[in-house]
Amino acid sequence: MSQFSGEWINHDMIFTTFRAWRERLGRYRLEGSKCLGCGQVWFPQRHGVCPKCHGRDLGSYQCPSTGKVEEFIIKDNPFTDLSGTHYHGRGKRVLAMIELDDGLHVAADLEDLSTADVKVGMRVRMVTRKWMRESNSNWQYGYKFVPA
Amino acid sequence: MANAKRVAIVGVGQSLRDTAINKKGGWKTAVVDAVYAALKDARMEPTELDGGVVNYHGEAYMGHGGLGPPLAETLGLAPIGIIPVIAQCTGGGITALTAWSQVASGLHRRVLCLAFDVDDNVHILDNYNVSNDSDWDYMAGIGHEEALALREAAYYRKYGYDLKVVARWYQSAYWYANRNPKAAYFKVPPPSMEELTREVLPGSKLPSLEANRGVAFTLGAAAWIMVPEEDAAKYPKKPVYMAGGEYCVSPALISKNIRYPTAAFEGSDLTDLPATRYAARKAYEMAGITPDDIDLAQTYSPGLAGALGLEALGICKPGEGGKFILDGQIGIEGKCPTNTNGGQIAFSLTSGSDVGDMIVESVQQLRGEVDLPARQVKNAEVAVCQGYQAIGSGSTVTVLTNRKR
Repeated sequence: MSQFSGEWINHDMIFTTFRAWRERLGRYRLEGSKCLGCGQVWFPQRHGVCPKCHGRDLGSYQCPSTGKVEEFIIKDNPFTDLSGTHYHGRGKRVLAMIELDDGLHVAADLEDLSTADVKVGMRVRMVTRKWMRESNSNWQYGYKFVPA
Repeated sequence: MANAKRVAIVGVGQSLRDTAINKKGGWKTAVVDAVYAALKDARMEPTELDGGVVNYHGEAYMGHGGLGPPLAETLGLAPIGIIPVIAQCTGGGITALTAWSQVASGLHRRVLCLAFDVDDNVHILDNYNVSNDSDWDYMAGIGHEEALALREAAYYRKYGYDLKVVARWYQSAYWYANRNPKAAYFKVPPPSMEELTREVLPGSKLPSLEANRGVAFTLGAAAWIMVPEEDAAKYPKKPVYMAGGEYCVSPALISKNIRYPTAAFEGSDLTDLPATRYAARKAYEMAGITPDDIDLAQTYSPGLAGALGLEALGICKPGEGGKFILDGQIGIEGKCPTNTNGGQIAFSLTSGSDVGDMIVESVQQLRGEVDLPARQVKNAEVAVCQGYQAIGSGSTVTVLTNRKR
């Protein structure tokens, strides 16, 4: 048990707030990178080199917050209470590959919909929701998608 | 590269995958059992070894780090330094490549290769997913299984297959395991076709728990000993040679496995395993073979990974892996008997040991000395082993043969 929470929390692996803070722009608002040499856009953010042209000159790039479902799975994890995955909503979930309106891809959960309503091609928009817990029991947040 | 210096495997050994036995001694008992079985197989004394390489899934998975000293001491081999490789389910192939480099360069002449893992030191259901990019997909709840499931869904949709493919795949694994006394699921009846084709939700095309139950998580170890090709005649068993091998990678995030914008991955999608495809191309070139020369294959097997692997290895064309499985071509009388020890589904999924287990099985097949004749591939000369790391983003391909030059 955590001193901050009544929930059972597994501490085999201790993640810190620092790593979440470093990636906050991508996690909270889908900010990626654009290569100022070849123009290629990337998500998540690149750290100093473009794999396409190997240029080192990169700027920020705001990905669109809308897109469509290209593929999806319905995951029914029976180990919810035992797995120690710290992942919010673990259990029955819809995980999708989403093609953003600029052609970039993001893998993320779909929420606020019935599993029966998920369709390839459906329009979705990004929201910020709970991901995993940090070592101090705070929740990390990041992108998920809901029907547009 | 066809003239690359070959090395010989002259001894192999494995621990049992009976979890009830192994769990008593943990990983230390498993590695000792495997290594000393390999030494006995080669008629070699422990003091004759002069180098070693080991793979395991990683520190987060088993709760041990800096493995060189504790491992060598556990095995009674100190002061020999055993070089750790940490590359999850494909690392046994990297172990083989590293040992090959040592022997071929002349650095060492009798190198111990070890691949092992333990599934109950820490909570692996969480930590084995750290093999993914843990800044992004892991934190978003997308692990090894979820990424593979996305690949499966894309494969079914693109080529029009259904769960019968994965059901046949699982039943074939049980067929082999039921003829392998070392398998975790030896004499364990396979799930029925009805169980294996039941969807988690109607229309999802994802198998329910009954299929997942088939994956045999255990601890265990595999070991083999490599020497220069010219030394092979000094040892009693029919020599098997490592004739080709390579490790290649593709982008680590599953979202980057669709139209990644570099020439190497042009046209790639979720149904493709370019890391295996590139590694196979290089390994076959080194060995001087084509996919038509392959007599048996060991591939990473949970879910539909096997069908994807058969295609990436060139044994089937893209989209034909499913038909290959449905037609029984992976069976003992088929065109390419596959996962002849039962694979990760029914022999064991021991992560760090996976490719090691493939190599041990392949060597025994190529010697013609599989313990129960029912699963002996007749007159086999060439075997390939495919490792699958993380989301398929890392892969080794190892070519073994009993052909002399």
